Amino acid sequence: VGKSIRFSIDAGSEAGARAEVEDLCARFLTNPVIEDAAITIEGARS
Amino acid sequence: VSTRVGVVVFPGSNCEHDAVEAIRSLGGAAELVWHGASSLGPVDAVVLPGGFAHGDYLRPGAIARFSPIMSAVQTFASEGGPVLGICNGFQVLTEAGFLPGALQKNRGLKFLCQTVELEVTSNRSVLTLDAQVAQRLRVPINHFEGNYTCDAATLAALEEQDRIVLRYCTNPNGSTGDIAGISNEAGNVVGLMPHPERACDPILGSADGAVLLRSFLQAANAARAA
Repeated sequence: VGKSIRFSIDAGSEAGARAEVEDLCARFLTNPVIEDAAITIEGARS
Repeated sequence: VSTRVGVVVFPGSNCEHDAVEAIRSLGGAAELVWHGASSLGPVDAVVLPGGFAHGDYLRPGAIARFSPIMSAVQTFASEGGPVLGICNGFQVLTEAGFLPGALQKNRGLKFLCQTVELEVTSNRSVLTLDAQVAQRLRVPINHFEGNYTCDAATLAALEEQDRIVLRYCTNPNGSTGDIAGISNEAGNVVGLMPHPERACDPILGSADGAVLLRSFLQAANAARAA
């Protein structure tokens, strides 16, 4: 693992949160040319 | 009026004064432009210098691409203005999507600071129009993430479109295809890992970088006249 990034976001659903984080990974958190991302969602609260 | 070059300063840039001095020594006019500015002002060319923009946090160039000035640089480049990214500036240009591929950690995971020999492999870019193909230049490198990489299709396109501007004679860092510098399709945006601005006077060990920066100034002059 090159780096581990933990953060909280507000989202309507777990699927919504995942979609948002996937988008963040693609545009900013990773460089798709040289990096892959694995996303784990934990502690979803309503 | 001298050719006016804007040298962008990000928090953490550290080669901007070298670039300014080198451009002035070659007869150009150079001014620093803060990354937070929304306009480049009246410039004929733009340099993104080396260093560690925004501390290289996350990845080199990853945050710099969001600096306000980058919208102006994008517009300038899309209108054909000469843009040169040196070292960290090259990393910013790939992260911002001006140039394809990425710069990953050096093979061997060592920071490299040494003079290398480069071969000019294309002279249809703003950085090499005054150079000869196959000309060899001694220019220093100073980087940890200088190992250029891209997928096979991108590499084939770069070769086919004559966009590989400089190659290492002896590959120091694992770069795909020995690539030291590339251009965009139009040739007006160039990124390279070596530092020509640090090799513009014999007292620095080499003046070969002047060949490249003189080309860049010529291109800026031509762009202004057009």
